[in-house]
Amino acid sequence: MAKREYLKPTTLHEAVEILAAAPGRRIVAGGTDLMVYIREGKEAPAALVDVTAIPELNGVQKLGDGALAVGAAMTHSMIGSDPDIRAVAPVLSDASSSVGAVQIRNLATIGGNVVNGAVAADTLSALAVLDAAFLTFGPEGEKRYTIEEFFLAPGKTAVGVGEVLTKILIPAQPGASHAFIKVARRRAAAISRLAVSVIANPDGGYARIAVGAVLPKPGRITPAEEALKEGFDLAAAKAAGEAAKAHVLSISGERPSMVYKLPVVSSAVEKAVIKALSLREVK
Amino acid sequence: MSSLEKVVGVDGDRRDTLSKVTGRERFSGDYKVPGALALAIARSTEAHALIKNIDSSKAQALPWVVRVFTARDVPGENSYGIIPITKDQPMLAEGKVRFKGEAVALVAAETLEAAREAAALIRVDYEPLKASFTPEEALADGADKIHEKGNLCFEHDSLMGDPDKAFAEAAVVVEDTYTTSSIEHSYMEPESGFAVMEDDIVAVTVSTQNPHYDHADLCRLLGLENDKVRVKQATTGGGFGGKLDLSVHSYVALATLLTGRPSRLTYTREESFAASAKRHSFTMKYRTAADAEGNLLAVDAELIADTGAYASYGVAVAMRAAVHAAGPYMVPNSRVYSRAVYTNHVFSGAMRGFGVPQVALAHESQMEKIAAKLGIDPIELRLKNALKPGDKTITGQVLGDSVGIRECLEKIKAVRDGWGAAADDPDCFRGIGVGAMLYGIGNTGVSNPSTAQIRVNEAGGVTLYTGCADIGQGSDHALLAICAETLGLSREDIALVRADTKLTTNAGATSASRQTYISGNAVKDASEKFMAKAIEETAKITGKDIADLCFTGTGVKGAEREVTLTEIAESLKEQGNELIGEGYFDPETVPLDHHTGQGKPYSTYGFAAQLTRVHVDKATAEVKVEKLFAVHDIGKAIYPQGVIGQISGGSAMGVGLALMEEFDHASDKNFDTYLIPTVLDVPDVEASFIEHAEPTGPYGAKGVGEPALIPTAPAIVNAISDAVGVRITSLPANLERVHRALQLMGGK
Repeated sequence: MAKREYLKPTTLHEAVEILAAAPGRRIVAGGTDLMVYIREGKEAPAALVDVTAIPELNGVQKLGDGALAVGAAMTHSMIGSDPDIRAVAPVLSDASSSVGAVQIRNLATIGGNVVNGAVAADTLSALAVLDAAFLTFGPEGEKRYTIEEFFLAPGKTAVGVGEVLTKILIPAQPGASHAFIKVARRRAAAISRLAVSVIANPDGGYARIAVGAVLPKPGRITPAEEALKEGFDLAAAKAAGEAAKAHVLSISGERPSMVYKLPVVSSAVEKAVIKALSLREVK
Repeated sequence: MSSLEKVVGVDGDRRDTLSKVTGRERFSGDYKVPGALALAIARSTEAHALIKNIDSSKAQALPWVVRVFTARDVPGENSYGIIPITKDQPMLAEGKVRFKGEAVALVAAETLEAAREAAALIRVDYEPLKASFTPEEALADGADKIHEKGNLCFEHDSLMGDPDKAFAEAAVVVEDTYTTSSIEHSYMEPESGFAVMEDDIVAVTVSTQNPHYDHADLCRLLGLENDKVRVKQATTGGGFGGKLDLSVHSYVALATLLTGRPSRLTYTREESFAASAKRHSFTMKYRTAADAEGNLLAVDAELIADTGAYASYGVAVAMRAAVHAAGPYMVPNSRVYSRAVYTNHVFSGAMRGFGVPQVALAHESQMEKIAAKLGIDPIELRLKNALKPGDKTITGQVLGDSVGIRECLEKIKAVRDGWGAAADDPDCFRGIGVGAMLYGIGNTGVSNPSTAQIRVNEAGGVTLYTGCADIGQGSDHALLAICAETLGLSREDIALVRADTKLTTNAGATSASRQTYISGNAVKDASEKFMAKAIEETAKITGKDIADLCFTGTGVKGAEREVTLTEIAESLKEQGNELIGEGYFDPETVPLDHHTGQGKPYSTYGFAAQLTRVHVDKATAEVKVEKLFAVHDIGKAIYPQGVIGQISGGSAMGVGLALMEEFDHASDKNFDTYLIPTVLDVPDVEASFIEHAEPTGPYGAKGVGEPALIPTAPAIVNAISDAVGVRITSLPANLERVHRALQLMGGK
């Protein structure tokens, strides 16, 4: 097996310097994707730069307006059990808790999930409905991206070579309720076939709906949100599901996997909305 | 020692429990083997091709590479296989390859890295042949022959009564076609072993279910006499049938024989997936007839199994599936035609149930269809038709006394009534389903004996010698219980020497749920003969009458003092004799007739019924098995905790078979994409058993290893059908298939 350097900077500046010092250096945090790619021969980085010891990438900061800044190196286990995240963004708590299995969640980080930009990444639909933003640090200093700016294509994000994702910013969601649904071939350690995140606040007159695993990049489904706002009731929930299905069809088109996924986008969005709004008890 | 203590039927700690839970147990890969060569295998990249040339010059030239082996280096017959009539598999491909992943060349090197690098540098020129990936393709005109004899590996016919007449006169006929998937065994420990020279003997320590078979085929491959090869079973991390074939054995043995150096090989998970046996996928066309009261009149089944590139256990699977095609029911007329067909998939072999889980899906679905047509309760219909002692099976075998299927069905009926009607809620449908089965214990219609010995050891105690491989299921514990019970000892008093071809004699394979019944009987026989011999010799020593003497476990009493086993053994030794009990048991069978399939394939059968409740998510089609109740007629529980463990584990495997497992030969490389159930996917299994003592069994025992799995998938599929009103006929019942059923229901 090829030997490679393993470097563990403790400051952001050091990390950026190390990344720039030689080509082929790759950031690693939990390594739950990267190590698999290396074993499969799909990646062969010259060196691994472990960013998990950098203070800025750790912990949850409460910002003045009730928003949160979540360190990119926080593991899904940490996110799933963090009381501040549970209070502000329970949809993210649920999404992180659905990743892989306990062993994976103890290693894998939210930053890794975000930066890999996989179509089926479990947290991305949640981050979309939270209107999250992303902070990076690189040779040109700090940058801030909206979700639309950040995700470019499947597996492709705006983070440049030599840049480090540092924080995920989550605005406060006063008065909103939520639901997260993940559908997979088994109940743990499985890639999602479909994920749905919903945040709704009838009093505030808004709803946000996003789906994972069926669209090339994460983003809200505005037509479904509009449909739901018609009444925030069972009929509107059904209409939101239909609108989501039409939206997915228009973007992803018909393909073999869609025979199952497309109708289930509709029924799962409807179910998630019902759950979020407690229109009836959903198990 | 307490001679009054009963051992059989009492739990107690297994000898391997502590070492396994603390990680101290040594598996093949854990041994230190000083100076061992590392091995790596170059595998075929083609599914079906002629080998024009193998260029290993680059591999051979790498530093640390010791030698590259190809088929040319195999000193004996380069063909092996468990079934004597189908030894069709080379250890290294000769002239052609028949599946992607087949071993073409073997590299021995000083380091594993060098061996793997060298294996990757071996260049093979192939001339592709037309590959067949389904039995239909393989049997079609114009298909390239996979083997000289053609692509039909084996066919089996069975006929009883007059099925045509029965169908013509029947009140109800139901028919359907059922399919099941190819499945990977997914044992925790991949194939692993090592070889060393012990003087001029090649000694192989390996993870295996069948050391004596391994020994015979290694002698054949290496061209060595019986006494020049030794196989020792290492602690084995699961098998489920997948470690009945040779795997690493032949490679370590060849490398060690030809270099004189120790060697070792552990498959990567990817190699294990690519090159080990799979469960046969089946297509099953069924017609079943009944009269207006629901009495079964006839079954007509056509079974076709994908046996992959080599026969392995294909013959046994096709035959056993045919024998069990009607399930645990009395069916007076039957016709079954069963085939195993070669394809260019990795070979299919033995996997927990040998074709019976497949036919159980079909016969249990057919029962539901008949029940629905006649408006009879599905459990009542089964009870009406369940086999009784003295009934004839579809091979014409008259069943003996141990037939507990009715009691199993009555138990699940009571449990179902206790569960009450499954309530639907706005988000899910609920359903309850039943699965029932019978399973013949031991190999099908052939002699399959076991042997065992009891000897006195240096400490003056007794040692049990058995060739039976404990692969984790607990046969050590069960055989020790039988030995202890018979000798009036406790398990702890008995030393055990197990599964080493130099020290133990053949107990046959740990497969076909046969070891408790067959090796258990051999151990009991050995124990009884040991006692008899000890008493007989004591009579001679003391001049007492045999009738006045009794065996105490440590010696023989009845004279002024107890004569110890050591004394008895020494007395015999002076006469050139030995204090030994040599046990033997071969179940009584009658081979199946070639044309009619009639005969007595097994001397006894296990029976079982399982009940499940599932919920089907209306929005997503996800299925959750909420409850699973299992009851098995096992004759007698020698080791009750082990029986419950087998049923629980088997049911978990059945959940995989029912809902998610489907080996995609083109894309499944490891557990990244090949999904087996997690603990969250398996319900709490309420496992229980009944004990219809088998008169020929040791203390009445039969077997449970495979029966554990068989009723689960039919019960789940029937529960899904009960929930959504549409029958799923192809396994696994995955998201897509269940969703399709939901859509069909919506359309009604």
